[in-house]
Amino acid sequence: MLVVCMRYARHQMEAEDLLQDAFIKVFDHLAQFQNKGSLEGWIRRIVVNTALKNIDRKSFTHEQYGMEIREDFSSTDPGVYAQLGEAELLKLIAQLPEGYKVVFNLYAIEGYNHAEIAELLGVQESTSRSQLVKARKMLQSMVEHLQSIAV
Amino acid sequence: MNQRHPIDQVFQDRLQHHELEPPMHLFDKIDAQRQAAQGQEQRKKRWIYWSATALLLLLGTALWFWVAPNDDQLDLFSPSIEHLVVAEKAQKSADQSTPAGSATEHQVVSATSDQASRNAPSAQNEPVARLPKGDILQNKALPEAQLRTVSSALNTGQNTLDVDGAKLAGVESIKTEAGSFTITEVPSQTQNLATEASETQTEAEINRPLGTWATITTKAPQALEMQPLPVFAPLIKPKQRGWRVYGEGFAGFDFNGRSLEARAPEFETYREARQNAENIQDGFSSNLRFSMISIDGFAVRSGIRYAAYAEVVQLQGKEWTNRFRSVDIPMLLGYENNRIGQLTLSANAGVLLNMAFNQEGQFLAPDLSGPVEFSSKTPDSYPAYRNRLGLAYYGSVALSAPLSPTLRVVIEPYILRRPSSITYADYAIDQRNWNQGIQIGIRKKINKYIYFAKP
Repeated sequence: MLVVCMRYARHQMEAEDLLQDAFIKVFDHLAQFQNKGSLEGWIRRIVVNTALKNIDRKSFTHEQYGMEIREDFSSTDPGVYAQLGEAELLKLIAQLPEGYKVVFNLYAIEGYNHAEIAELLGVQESTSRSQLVKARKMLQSMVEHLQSIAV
Repeated sequence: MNQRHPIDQVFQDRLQHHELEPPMHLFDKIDAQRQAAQGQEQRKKRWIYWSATALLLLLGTALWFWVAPNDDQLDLFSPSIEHLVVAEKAQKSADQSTPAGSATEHQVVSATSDQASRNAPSAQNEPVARLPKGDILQNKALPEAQLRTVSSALNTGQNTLDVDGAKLAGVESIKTEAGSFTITEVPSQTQNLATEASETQTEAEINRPLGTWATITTKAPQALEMQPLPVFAPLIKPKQRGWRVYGEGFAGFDFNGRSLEARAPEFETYREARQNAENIQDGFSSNLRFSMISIDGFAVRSGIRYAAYAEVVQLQGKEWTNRFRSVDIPMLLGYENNRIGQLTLSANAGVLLNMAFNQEGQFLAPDLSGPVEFSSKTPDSYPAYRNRLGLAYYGSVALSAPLSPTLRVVIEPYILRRPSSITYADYAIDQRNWNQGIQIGIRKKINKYIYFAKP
């Protein structure tokens, strides 16, 4: 779960604080776990929700809508990402602006759809889509930059 | 079917189940925080139990005062008035076989306990008036309370009656003398002196018919059939000192103040920002209290107090109002002086036991990023203010004037100081509040006495 927190936090200390807060909630509400799903999934939801409460809502304002139509990732070979270790991938995510980072984490890794993300964050679905596209584009440019340095 | 984006797929595959071992100190912190939370929860429960118990006791006591019979209706320690019937019957029987005038007499003298002791060997106080011999129960001139007082004195053999009982009965003391008693009514002049002598009690009650006076002729006490006293009677010093009970209701204005102090030098900027942004307002409070006032003027007061105040905050171009409410149980001691004509003046001091402190609003976050909510009822709000504040010091003076025989208007200026911070110790700022105010209310005399010892 520490990795989950690190994907949402700005630095290691913040990630540890988030994990601490999340596990306090887990212990406090353990009796409410109804064994309907996996314990890991239940804990992960608590961790993610704790992380989301720590996020500045202003990260999702002042978005330019319509950027999703400009998706173009054809220039980067997906195999390039496979050469990066988990630590490098986490660093890439950490370099994203907060709004991009949250939406990318929720959509790409946690598996939420845009409607769920919009409800979780209290934003428009279009905002979520826009943030995701920008996040991907930024990750792509960062990977290309790493690739160029390696070459 | 949606096809996942290759970048999303890569990140999910590599990170979704990737784990790192959290540092051990994190578990220690979680454990410590859990234990602290559990301790706080236990303290909260304990506090609730104690508060509920105190409240129940308070309400029970108040209810008892309200519904219990008056002390002139409840006289557990005194023998019944039948005692005198027995005595009178015996006297009638003796009259038939004894020449008139040889019967013994009961005598009541106007004297304090010391005076009674001095007079005991040879009390020769002259009665002011005498009732004819006969069935004293049929003599309407002798008030019932007077009979009971005499009955009590005969049974217990005490030399001195309590002041309250004496006032109610119209006599001041009784003195035994080898089986011979003369009951003498306090004349009107003496009664006035008695009233003056007991002025330390807030409101003396002497409501007996004037001009009645009796001499009761009866047999010697040893001829009477004594009723057994309660087993605990010998354990109690036979000293009647009634505490008058009053119900009080107040409402008033509070003039509030506060001090903010940074708990560390790095929070000084934050303290200054809050100091400039927030403006504490005047508030109001209301009180419901019961007071017990002794014949010497000492007072014990308790009840419940509700207070509320507000802060106006101007921050980042916005303005809003924060609200704070508290519920306290006052526990006060006082002294009351009524030698100011019809007025009484009292001084009170004690503590307020805080039962609850609720907050609602927002203040500047410690990282200076903007407003953050601290409301006590909102989950996950910023935990700055405590929910119970412990003890506060309270002092007041009160002036009362009569509206009716049982009702007085009271004006009570007061000061209140909370010696400890109203914020948690781990919050950046130590905040202490104080207030002074003036409350106006009414004091209703409840027609009850409480006795801590009774013969």
